[in-house]
Amino acid sequence: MLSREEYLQLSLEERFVPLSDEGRERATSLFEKLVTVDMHTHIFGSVHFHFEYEPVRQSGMTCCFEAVPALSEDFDESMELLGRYRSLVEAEPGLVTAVRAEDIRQAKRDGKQAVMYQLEPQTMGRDLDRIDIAYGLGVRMMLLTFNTRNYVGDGCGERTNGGLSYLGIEMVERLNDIGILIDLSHCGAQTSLDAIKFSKDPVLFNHTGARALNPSVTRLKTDEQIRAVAAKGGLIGISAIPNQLSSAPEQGIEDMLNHIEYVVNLVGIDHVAIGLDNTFHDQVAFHRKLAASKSVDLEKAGITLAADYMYGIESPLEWRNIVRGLVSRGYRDAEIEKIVSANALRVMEEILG
Amino acid sequence: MMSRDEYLKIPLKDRFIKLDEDQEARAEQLHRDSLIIDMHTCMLEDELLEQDFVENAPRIQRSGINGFIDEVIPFDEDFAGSMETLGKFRLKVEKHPDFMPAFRAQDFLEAEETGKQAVMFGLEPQSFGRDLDRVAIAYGLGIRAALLTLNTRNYVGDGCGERTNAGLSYLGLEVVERLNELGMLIDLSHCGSQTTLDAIEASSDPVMCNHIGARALYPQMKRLKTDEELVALANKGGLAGVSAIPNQLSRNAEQGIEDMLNHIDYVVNLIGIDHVAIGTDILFGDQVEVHRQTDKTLLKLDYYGQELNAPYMYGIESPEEWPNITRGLVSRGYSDDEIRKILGGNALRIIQEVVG
Repeated sequence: MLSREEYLQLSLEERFVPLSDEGRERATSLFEKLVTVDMHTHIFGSVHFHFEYEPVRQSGMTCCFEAVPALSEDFDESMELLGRYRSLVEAEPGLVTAVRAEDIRQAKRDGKQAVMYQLEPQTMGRDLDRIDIAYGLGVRMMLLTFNTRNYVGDGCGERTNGGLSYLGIEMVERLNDIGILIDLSHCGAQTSLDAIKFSKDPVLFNHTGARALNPSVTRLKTDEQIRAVAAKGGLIGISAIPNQLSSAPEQGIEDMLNHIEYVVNLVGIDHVAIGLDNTFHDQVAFHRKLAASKSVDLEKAGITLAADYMYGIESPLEWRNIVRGLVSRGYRDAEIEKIVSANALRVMEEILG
Repeated sequence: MMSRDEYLKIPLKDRFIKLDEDQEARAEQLHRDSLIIDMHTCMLEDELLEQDFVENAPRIQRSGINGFIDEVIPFDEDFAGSMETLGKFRLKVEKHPDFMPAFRAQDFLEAEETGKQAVMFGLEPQSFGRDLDRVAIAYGLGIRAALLTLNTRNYVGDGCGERTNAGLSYLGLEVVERLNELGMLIDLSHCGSQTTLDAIEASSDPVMCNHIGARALYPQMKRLKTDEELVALANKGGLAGVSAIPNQLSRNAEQGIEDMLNHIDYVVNLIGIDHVAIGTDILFGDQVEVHRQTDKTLLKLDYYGQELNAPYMYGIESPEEWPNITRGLVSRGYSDDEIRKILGGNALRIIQEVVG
């Protein structure tokens, strides 16, 4: 197996899923034609702020739903970071800020890329009026908890499995009322099930995978949780995070496709989307650093850093390879469109207006 | 039953429990000569509760106690705000000739000797958020006790009125460890059942439920502690402080000192005389009205089952009625030694052991 550095020397074509000429042509034209939405991106880097436009342009994706990594859960800090992101996006003529589905379609027609904003996790503390402020400043999705506990619920890596608190129920109501998407990707099982139950809108696991395929990783979702989100009309966004979808020493696009297939078989094609959660940098090195600084406890999360990178989907630059992979797995054009954007746009239309 | 206004017009001695001559003499001497520490009061707070410390200071002296743990009350759990309040409290206490701040057990003994009031400062609830370093900052600024949660959920645990009953979080375990290392008292009075049990188990020091009562006497009131929690607390060497909070010890239309004594009797019978203290949670002014006003915004009474049936606590409605607790203990047949333990001996022991 190649090292990460060797892998990055390969041309994009060499990194991609091999297809027949006909398949390759179909994948290329689909990618050019279709709106593509990544429901969970870190184009500004995760935690360490860094932005370059060129790789975003090269990725070719239509919409980045960018996650503001508010690990401190400090509201002021998260709004400042949002302001920095927005100032850079608005200074770049190739990018537009989006707050609804139609903005994304318009961006595609204009040959531009759309950026939306979410909080990972939410930073409302005990003050629900901040939801209005965050909405006003452009936030359109919130993750209820990160891996540990906060005022509204328990994270997937917490020692307890408490459900939503009373404040959590109020928060879900407020998010519903104002029209903000609710993400449960890092929430604990009971908090997820409670949020699904109390939300009147569909909710999301926007960057996850199926626990059935890698049972040790607590971040991934059980069949029960996936079914509950789908029954609510929600979305399961499949991620490309190294060492979460698999614990094998070699991991990549095929793992992502395995998780897509599993979820499609479990709940149908209408509930699957893409939420890569990757960056333009070395993620495994970053995870190692996070673990050393104790910000994230890998052991509690059931994660071993077995692979150094994700072949075929190491960064958003390889977004085209998702479409190639879906072609290689035999999905029809309409099904591919649902996975790469139509499902996401449907949920956005329903909730964001 | 008379109204609160009518009640407060009655001369103090007529509000007290009737005793025979011998008992009267004993009660008076015990109240004068014993070290008395109220483990939980809200007598300094002036914004939320509209109290005036300078006006109230002589009334605190008249209570005959020697010291108390007074609570900074950051309902919003905002750390900076709670430290500002602490600064205001300390200024009041340090500028007043009859008061002194208390940072260790010895300070209570000194206050007893000099006739001052020793004030130890607690956080109700703690306001550390997710930043463990704030435990040391709070200690450095003078805090010596911390309630882990109020009635609802926070980063460390679930409150007694929360819809969930999760235990301590990983961060909660670390907060307990940090409080132990620094020597700060841990209060679990408002915590949910599992959070209470987890904290008792996780703490290397004795912990306390310093303003509570026995759930067995009023089963629907989640603020009170179950037998299981009380026994675990005592097994750890901890302290149960019985409160005088209206509508938490009983749901009767008439409530007062006898309810408090019933809870003391029950807890003494369950876990022994060495683990019981007094934490009145008393304040100046109309506590039931405070509960009414803060119901939906802060306390959320219906979350933990509190009704507002009684308008006041006869016999223990204000701090100057404190001697009535000593009188009540005499009336219930406790010995002098036992009464001294309840009034302050047990409190001093745990402060000595945990804070130094």
